[in-house]
Amino acid sequence: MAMRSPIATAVAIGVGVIVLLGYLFPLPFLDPLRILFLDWAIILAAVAGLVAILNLFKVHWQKLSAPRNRDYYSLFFILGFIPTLVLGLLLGPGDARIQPLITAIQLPIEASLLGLLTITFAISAVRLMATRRSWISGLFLASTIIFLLAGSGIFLSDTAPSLIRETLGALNLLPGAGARGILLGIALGSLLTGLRVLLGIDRPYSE
Amino acid sequence: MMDTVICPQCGSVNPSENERCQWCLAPLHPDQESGPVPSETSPIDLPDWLKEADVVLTRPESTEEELPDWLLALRQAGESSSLEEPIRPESEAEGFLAPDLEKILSLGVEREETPAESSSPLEQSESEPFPARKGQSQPKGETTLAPTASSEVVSTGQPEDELPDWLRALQEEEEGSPTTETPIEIGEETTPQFFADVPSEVEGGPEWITGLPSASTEDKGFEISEAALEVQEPETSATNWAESPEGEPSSTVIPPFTEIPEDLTAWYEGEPTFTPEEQTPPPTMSSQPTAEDALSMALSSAEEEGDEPPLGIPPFNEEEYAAWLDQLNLEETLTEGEVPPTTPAFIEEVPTETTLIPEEVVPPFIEGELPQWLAESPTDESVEATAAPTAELPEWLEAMRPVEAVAPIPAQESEEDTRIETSGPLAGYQGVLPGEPEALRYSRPPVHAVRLNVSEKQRAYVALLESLVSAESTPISLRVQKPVSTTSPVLRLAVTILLLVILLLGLISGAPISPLPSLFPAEAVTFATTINTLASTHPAPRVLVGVEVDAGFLPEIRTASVNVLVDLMRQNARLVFITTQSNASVLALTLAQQAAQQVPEYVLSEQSLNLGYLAGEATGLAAFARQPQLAVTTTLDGQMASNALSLLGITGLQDFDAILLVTDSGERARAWLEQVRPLFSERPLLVITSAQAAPYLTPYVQSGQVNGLISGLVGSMTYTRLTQKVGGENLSLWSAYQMGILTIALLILLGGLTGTLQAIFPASKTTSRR
Repeated sequence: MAMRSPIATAVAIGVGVIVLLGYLFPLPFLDPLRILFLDWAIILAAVAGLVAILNLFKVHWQKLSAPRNRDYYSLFFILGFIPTLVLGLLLGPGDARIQPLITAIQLPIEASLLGLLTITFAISAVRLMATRRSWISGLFLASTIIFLLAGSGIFLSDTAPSLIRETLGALNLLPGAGARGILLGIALGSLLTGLRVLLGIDRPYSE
Repeated sequence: MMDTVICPQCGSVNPSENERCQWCLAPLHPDQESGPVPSETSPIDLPDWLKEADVVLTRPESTEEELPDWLLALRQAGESSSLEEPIRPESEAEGFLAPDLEKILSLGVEREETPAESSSPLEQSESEPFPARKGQSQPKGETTLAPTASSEVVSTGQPEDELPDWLRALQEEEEGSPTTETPIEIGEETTPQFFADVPSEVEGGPEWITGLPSASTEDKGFEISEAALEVQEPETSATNWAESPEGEPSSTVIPPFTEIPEDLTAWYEGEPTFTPEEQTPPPTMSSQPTAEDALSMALSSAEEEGDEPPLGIPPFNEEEYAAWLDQLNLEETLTEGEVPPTTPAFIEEVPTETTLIPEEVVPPFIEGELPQWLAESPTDESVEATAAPTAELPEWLEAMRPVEAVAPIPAQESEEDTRIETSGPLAGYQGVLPGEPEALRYSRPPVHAVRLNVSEKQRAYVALLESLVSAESTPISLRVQKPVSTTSPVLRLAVTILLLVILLLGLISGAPISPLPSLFPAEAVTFATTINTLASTHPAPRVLVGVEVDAGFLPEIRTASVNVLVDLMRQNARLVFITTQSNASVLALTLAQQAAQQVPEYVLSEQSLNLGYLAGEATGLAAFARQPQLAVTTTLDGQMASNALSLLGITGLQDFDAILLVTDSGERARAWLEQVRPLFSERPLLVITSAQAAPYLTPYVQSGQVNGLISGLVGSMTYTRLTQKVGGENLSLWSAYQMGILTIALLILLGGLTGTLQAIFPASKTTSRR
């Protein structure tokens, strides 16, 4: 089978090998190349971010200017995007007049969303056994209650029963175990993905 | 009673004193006229065999005992019947042969029509009334060509409408078929090739042939003029009897001979040899009526309405008889619609051109006179019922047949030749260009099964491949989930109001429902210890503060972050803020400003540096870890980052005394740990995180990559309790937090119990609904 994008594949493999060798063997001639490649990657990432911002604006503009089914919520995006962009370019992100755009608008809105999410999760958990009666649901609800109590700090005092404290301490190891497993899986996946890209098996850049 | 002599040729009764038959001019005393006919007058150098055959023909006539029975019966009938009366079938039974005769005669007439118009002798004969019809003798000079039976239509007394369908179709067919003229030049030797191969003298011929009177022109009492010879038709030739009515060789017609005489060529050899010398002087017909005239009168009288020339009734001739039988056989094939059998070889090979001009003979057959074998000839009904019998040739004739006749005829050729159109205006015609049948032959090409020799293993592979391919195209049916019933508005509103009330009560009261934490996690203790001991390592510790927080999670970690920053500011730490989130730089600035408010002596603009947003996330962190001055060009205030860092005494990552990471995401914390921590392994890395990311970072804490960790409000309270900050606990928030968590836990517990009870006691639910 003919290889797709042989030049791109060669470039990707070559750059990956150089960066990997630069990490493993800090040789004088490899380190500048690795840093150079990293700088190019940062620039490309920054440009990609700029392209994403422009694409976001384009999408909302098309929704607003569509002949049918106009999405008038896009108007709020455009009204917020243009002043922020202009003020940021003119004043800079460190200006005191720019900070309220985040602290007085973005922060309360996101915090409110988290508060609403908290109430929604609480109601869903209350009705979980009424909608899905299974041992998984029961286990989930039990673990939720236990970790809520453990995270509340109620049992962090000396007055708490030792049995409860020891039990909660043992239960707190479970999230750490699960997180470790997740991190190990992520590490192995990253390793294999890197090897596949270096070996040319995966060529996400050619698609 | 006077003595009479029966003519050996025509069987008529003649006075004994006559030397020749008054009817057919045949010698009544063959013994006296025995001897070969002088052939010196022949201008053509006949082959030896033909000359010898001529000699044979002039042999003494066979006696009456040698004649076949049917001929004898014919003669007797001729004696008893009056020749002056027209021969008419008096009854239907007697006239059973009439259709056959009509057919034969009509076919002959149809063939003769075209050449008759162009040939002068026939025109002459048509213009003048036939003498025999009027009972007068016609001079032979005027009738150089004796009118044959086929030269006119013999009326059978039946109207044309009453004719049978087969005969009418045959007549119509004959009318539409063109005739061909094959003039024969005088002196041209047209002896068929296969006859030329025949031995010159055939002996042992059948008696019925050898006994026939000589057919020489002299004996017949008439001669054929040159003009008549010039206009020869294939139908009237000696070989026409072997041809189909269309003039085509009737290769598929078999005469209904039950048995063919062994010496079949004998009769041919007995045919008169017409020579120009003999034909040139037109003999004059005697005034005495001959047997031919009588017969022609008898037959022509049957058709009173016709103006066609009268029939000359020559003596019985085997050629006409064969043609007659051919027509009869053709009728069979047309009636049955079957493919006629192949023609005997000697018929196929007979050339169409010949010098012989046979005279059409209308045999004066009546029922009683017919021979037995002819009387048993199949009628129309019998012909339809039975197939034509296959002729049996004698062995010597079989051996004489040409190779082409013996060779099998190609199937396709025979099929084309024998096809008879069954529909349309050309119905009944043979050899019509095939149109419809050819088109109908086309059909779907046959499907040939291809069978491969495959092993069981290969079959298994094929089945596996087929399953894989089919699985790719088969849509996966989604599990139909039960429609989730929406939460009742009352429940949602009740839960929301309850939580808000509880939180407000906690904020307002500021009284925790439980004692403040007195048991601290180890990582929190390490964190607080590290922060408060930085001043011991450096009088103005340089701390890199990474702020990777979304605005929504900032309130959760704000308390802890501000308390830590305050402690650092109190230690006169040089704080360098950096973030990989676009809006986190402002949040970092906000946190620093809030902390600086608590430390008035700390000059934030001078003792701290906000590098702002670092693009590239993990990649940017890697670059910043390698070369901070190159990775970041400007600060949040727009200053040159390199210069600002230089002012702080920082040229690289190793110049920082500690790294404080404030994040609400485990992924972002992992990027710091993976990209920065390897280059900063000897210095402490402390993490302030939200409650949701703490479990994710626990492994890094346990592995030592993270030296200290505090998370959420609990970590903030823990840190405050560890650092003994007065008023930094934020008890109102802590109280609201604890009350809210306990309320949610209680609601979930109640909801779970309710659902479990409904599952255990479903009947009670049904009852309550009723």
